[in-house]
Amino acid sequence: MLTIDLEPELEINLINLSKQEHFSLNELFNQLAKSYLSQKQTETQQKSNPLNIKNRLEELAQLQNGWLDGKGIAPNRESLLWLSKEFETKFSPSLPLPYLYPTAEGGIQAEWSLKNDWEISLEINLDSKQAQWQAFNLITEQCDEYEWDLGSSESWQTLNQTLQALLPKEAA
Amino acid sequence: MNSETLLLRQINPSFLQNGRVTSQAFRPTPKDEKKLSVYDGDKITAQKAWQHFIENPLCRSVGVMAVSKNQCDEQNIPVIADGVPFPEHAYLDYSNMSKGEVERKAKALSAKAQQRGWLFKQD
Repeated sequence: MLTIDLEPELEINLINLSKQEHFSLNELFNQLAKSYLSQKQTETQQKSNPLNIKNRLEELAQLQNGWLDGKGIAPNRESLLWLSKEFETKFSPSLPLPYLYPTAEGGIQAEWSLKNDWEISLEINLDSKQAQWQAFNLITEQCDEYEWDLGSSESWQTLNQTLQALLPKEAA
Repeated sequence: MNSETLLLRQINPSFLQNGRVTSQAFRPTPKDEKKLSVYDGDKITAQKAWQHFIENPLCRSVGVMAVSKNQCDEQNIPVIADGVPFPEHAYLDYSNMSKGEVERKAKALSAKAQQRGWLFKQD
């Protein structure tokens, strides 16, 4: 007897497939294998991405006060965990990952350099969860600035939409 | 100092991720009173500037990037060679600029500096 332990997402796929009136064992197997490979491929890509959010924030959690010429405030570790989870659950996986840097005031600054000359920064205050967005085009000098409350899911949706709209067409 | 003079900026290790430097490296922090310290490249080499900088145990740098005086002029950022607290010291004066304006100019300078590349990089 062959026993297969299914992960939750594959169980859902199996249920969906079994609801169809006609399916063969081959179709079932192909569907399961396709889902499994796709899921593992995504996980591997995320973990090996040098811009992996969780890894970078864990790295920044090691900073000590005085990290910037004796003056920089170290970001709060619990707040970094919060930010890591928010990015994981609310930042669209179809968007390019940001570069992440500490700020002198104990916050985090996310940055994107897009191929169409947009330089973007999102300065996040970890205490208030307020974030300041600035997108500046180096060629046209167009500049858009917004302030969002990242404690709200709606703000993350707005962030995703705003970034998506600036992506070069071929990448959008 | 002339339009081609390179203004040397130290890069903190945390301001570098996967080869990319944050635009924060080219704007003053709130405690800097809107003055961004640089070394005058006409008076000191990038490597010697780096060595001088890390002599202070509180200061860490992975290397040196630069913008030219001309690039600062294009952004309407005055460059002041004050020679204080050491002869090669100068600063970019972001006084009387809003936070948004400072960030825009820092983005522009950061892009120019990264196009130029590292003048000195720690092994």
